[in-house]
Amino acid sequence: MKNSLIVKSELKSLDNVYRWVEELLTDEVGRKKLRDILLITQEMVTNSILHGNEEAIDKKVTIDVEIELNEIKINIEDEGKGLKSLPSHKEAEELDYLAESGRGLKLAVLMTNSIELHGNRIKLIFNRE
Amino acid sequence: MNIDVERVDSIKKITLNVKKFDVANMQEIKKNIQAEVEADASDILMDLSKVSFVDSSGLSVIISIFKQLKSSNHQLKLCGLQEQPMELLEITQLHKIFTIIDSCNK
Repeated sequence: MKNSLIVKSELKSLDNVYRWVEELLTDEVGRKKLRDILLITQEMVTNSILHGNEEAIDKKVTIDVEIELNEIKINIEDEGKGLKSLPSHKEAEELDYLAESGRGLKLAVLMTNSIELHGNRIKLIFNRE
Repeated sequence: MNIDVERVDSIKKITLNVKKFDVANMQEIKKNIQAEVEADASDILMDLSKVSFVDSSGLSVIISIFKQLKSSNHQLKLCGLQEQPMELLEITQLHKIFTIIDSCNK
């Protein structure tokens, strides 16, 4: 089953995304897993709004949630140029504890079971457990 | 107002009045807390008991206040952490650096 949400590139869209994902997945995964999914989805949608679409109001962010037997797959796509690369797991583990930025992508690498970059689309995979 | 401020002995207690402390409200909360820090240097107890969700931007504000206080030999203590904010501190290893206390009433 696949569900989609399209939002404007403004930070107030984040509350809508949060509530939508929470409603979709509350009965599908445990509470800890849901908290992880909500955090990483928010981090990636924030990146899409701020850095991908640079808050251009005519540009959209599309979030697709696929609920499968063993996995939750979340695709987040913006209209920007896309990231060049993702941090490796090793780089993500080497968090600068007191850095004040650059943490979102590293958290995504650490807290997903798998993460893929396809230009301006990022795919997050979480085991349902 | 997204924060409440209360003086308890020599410590200033700042309570965050938001459920989500994130990129959407972090600038305003940061500005309000920094104004408190600059107005009257003291140790700060940050009461997060109303906050059920913190993202990396909210976390960056806590780090910034921690550094600001440390540079003037003051301390930041966090209290009332719900599950998600505590998990975020653990995965970023910041639970080893910050002083975290259970009760906000001490």
